[in-house]
Amino acid sequence: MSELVDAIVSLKEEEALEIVRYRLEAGEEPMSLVEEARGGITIVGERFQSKEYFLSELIMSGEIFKQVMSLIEPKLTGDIRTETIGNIVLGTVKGDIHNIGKDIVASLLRIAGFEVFDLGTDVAPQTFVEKLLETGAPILGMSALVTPSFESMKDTVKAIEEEGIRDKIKVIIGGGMVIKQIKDYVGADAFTRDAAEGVAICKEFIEVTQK
Amino acid sequence: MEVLDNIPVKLDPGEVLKRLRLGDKSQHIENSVQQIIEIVRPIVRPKAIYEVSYVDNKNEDSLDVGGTRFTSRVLRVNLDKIERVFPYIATCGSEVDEITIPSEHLMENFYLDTIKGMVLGSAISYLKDYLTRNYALGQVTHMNPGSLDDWPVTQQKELFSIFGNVEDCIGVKLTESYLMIPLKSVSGIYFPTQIKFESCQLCPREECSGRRAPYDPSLAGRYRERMLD
Repeated sequence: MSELVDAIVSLKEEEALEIVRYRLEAGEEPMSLVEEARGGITIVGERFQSKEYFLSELIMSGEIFKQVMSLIEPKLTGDIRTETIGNIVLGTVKGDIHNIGKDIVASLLRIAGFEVFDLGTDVAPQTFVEKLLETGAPILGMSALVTPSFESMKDTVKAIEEEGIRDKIKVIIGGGMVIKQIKDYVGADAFTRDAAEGVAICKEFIEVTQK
Repeated sequence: MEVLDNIPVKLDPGEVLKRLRLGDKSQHIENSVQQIIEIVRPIVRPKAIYEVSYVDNKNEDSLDVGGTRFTSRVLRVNLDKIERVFPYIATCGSEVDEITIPSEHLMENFYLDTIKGMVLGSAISYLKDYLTRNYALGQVTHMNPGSLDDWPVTQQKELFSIFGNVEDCIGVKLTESYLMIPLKSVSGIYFPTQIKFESCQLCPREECSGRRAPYDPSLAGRYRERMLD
């Protein structure tokens, strides 16, 4: 484990930033630092899933990564700067205004290299559809914490079907109450109650669409 | 009906950091948490409302509480020998709910969300102690619509109807999707009990961060069969 990875995994923000400044000044390739930092985030995600780390640590590692990126980004060249691994449309469905979980997932997705189109909360089915059509995003992520909002998730999947794009979209749902039976009822492709797992699933979706 | 709106709130940075599981991480984190607490402290005003209600018209899986019909086998079983109960709604308060932090400051938003949860906890704890003390209740427990499939969240509508205009009383609104605003609000019924009961004991959901007691499949079976001592 490099010093940078160790600093991120240990959540030592100042140390991580100091290492990045030093290595940038030494002329190191900025993209390699980005990949190394992402490696640190991956380890934090693994520790979160094994319950060694908790949500606070997951969020904090994301914030440290953002600070690291703020030092690195000015050194990245144009093409690399805009490179993403895929697009995702994200939102909390109609009838629900919980946002913290969705915001955490959005942050982790951006760190993982996704371009995230976050529609906010209380999002109507047609709003999701319009954004999917506008962006061509192959993934839709929907969040809800209130059980009546599962109907909104189902309505959104139906709206995507009626638009004729269901076969082009992978749908993942998340939230504290979500279980497999809800995923099946809604007609989604995957579900998660865990931010890090959600990001991993989205990465798998992208790998499938690229094959 | 009584409104409790002079509820003391202790916001100790150490306790907040402990709840966040970020104790001993860095001075920067401690300073950020302290800053949020200083924003919250002058305006925080949690509230609770409760009613003294009587149980009546007990049928197989339903009963009246304060003249309002509720359908839940678990509630029916738990209130089988109980006559007087205390429907309630508690909230962190709209004052603290109106604090906004830009969404890009995720960590600070998380701190604030956690603090609001702790404020709600203070309101619930105060209400429980208040009821226990003033009504000589002994051991009490509570149930909340939505905690179990057996008592769905849709029954919050009936619970809210016991109090009339809740938004005017304590600033809590129930939306059409049965969401309470402020989000850090809770509704339920407190009642005296001879046995320790938590709804979590009847819930098989795995990996729940809100779990207050382990799942007890045999207890769940006995509730289904109504075979309780």
